[in-house]
Amino acid sequence: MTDAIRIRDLSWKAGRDFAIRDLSMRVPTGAIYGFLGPNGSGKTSTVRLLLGMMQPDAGSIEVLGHAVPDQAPRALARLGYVPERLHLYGRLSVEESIRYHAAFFAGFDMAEAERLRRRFGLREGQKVSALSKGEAGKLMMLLALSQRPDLLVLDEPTDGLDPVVRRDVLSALVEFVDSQKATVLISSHLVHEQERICDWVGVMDAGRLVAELPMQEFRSGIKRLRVHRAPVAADALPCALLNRSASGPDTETWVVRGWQPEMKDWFSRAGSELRDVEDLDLEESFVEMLSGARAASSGPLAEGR
Amino acid sequence: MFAMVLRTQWQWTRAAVIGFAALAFVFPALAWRLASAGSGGPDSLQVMDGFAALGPMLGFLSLLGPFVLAALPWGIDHETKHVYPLSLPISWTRWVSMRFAAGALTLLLPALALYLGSRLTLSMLELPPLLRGYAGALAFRFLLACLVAYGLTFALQYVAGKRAALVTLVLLLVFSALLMGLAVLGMSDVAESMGRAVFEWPGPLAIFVEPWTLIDV
Repeated sequence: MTDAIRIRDLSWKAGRDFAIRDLSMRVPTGAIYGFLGPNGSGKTSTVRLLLGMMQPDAGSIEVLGHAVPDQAPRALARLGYVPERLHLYGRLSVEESIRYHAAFFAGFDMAEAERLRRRFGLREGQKVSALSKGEAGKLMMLLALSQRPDLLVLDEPTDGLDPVVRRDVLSALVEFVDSQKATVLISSHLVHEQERICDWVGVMDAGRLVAELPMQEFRSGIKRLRVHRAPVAADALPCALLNRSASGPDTETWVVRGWQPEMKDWFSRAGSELRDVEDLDLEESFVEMLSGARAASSGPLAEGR
Repeated sequence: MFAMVLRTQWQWTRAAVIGFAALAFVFPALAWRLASAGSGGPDSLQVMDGFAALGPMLGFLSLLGPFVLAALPWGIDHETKHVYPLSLPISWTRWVSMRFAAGALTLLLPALALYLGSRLTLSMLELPPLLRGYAGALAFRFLLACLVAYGLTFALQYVAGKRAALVTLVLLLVFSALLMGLAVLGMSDVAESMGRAVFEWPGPLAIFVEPWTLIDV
């Protein structure tokens, strides 16, 4: 399988406070890739680097086979982008915005744009500056989908939208992906939303990609273990230890990734007793993964990625 | 693609362009009125004197109008930190070139208005053969001055971004301080040479201050 997006050893620094460090990630063609991370983790910066809006300090980016930023216009011609904030001209009307956007994209489907405009309930003559946040989100999604892109890059596309608008936007997205077999990168901190539609997950924290794995693995592979007389050293643990903390006399709670039932024998051999294995929901998994990554970066506790 | 950029440029700046063109159109009539003050119908030399007297106003107009026409679209793009143009499938150089060309094209309207206003005013005079091309020459000179002002403003905005106004102010202050400093130090001749180098042909800003009569009257 080829990759729609491939980033290798990307570094980028913004002032003294924030940097993206040695970021490597790949988005397989045809995947719906959830790009998760807390606010300020570097998701939007990574997306802007992907689109060639900023120059990386080091590393390489390839989008749809084109090196970015050098060949960014070629990649952008096949890419639909929905940013986190309205980026369209407020002084144009909805119809003018559609015509303006269409002039730059050879494959822009005006009939599809009109269909989506009606479906989203956007009025032709309404000024973009007068649109509500939900309507603006719909218009940006309309423009991106009507391009018939091979790759959709959505940066917090439903952030701040009410549930009805969010449902409209997501269902239009799912329909598009079904019909076009396009690749989608969705950057978001709304974990539950990603769980419903994504088949791959990348997790960013403090400018680093702390995990990249299939959604199925993310959903089922992270467990909370209750360990009695836990061993001091966990170097030989056959799965990744994300976090450990005391939870009672002689008892610790461990959060692990890549857990398989047969691994419980390891605890017996280490002189410990595994008392409980608990499933985590996606949000808990996400939080545990982040806290594990943060602990790993501040001390040699866990294996990390 | 360019048609769309031109269309938005027109949409966003048309009020300024029309106002600018209206002022350019009435300029020759003002020169005529100044020349005919206290006399009946002025002759061609008196009208030329009127043009010369009001010339600085035309110079000021050719600085201010293009400044507004360059600043408005840049400001609109800057509201979104230029994210929209950056997400379009064209290079930044091409985008900036199209923006520049669209603005430069709209400058033709004030220049045309000045030409028509001059033709109308001068049509009421018996012109000597040498002055028959005056309206065209004046409009062309005005267009060149506008393009210089537009080019400087446009370049400054795209290079200095939102600090453009500050950079302009600093440049003006440095230049003024330099001139005053030289004068205080008794080096007025150096200050004068500097001023001439900037404001006299072939200085970069000569086009705004050189006599707008275009001929020696």
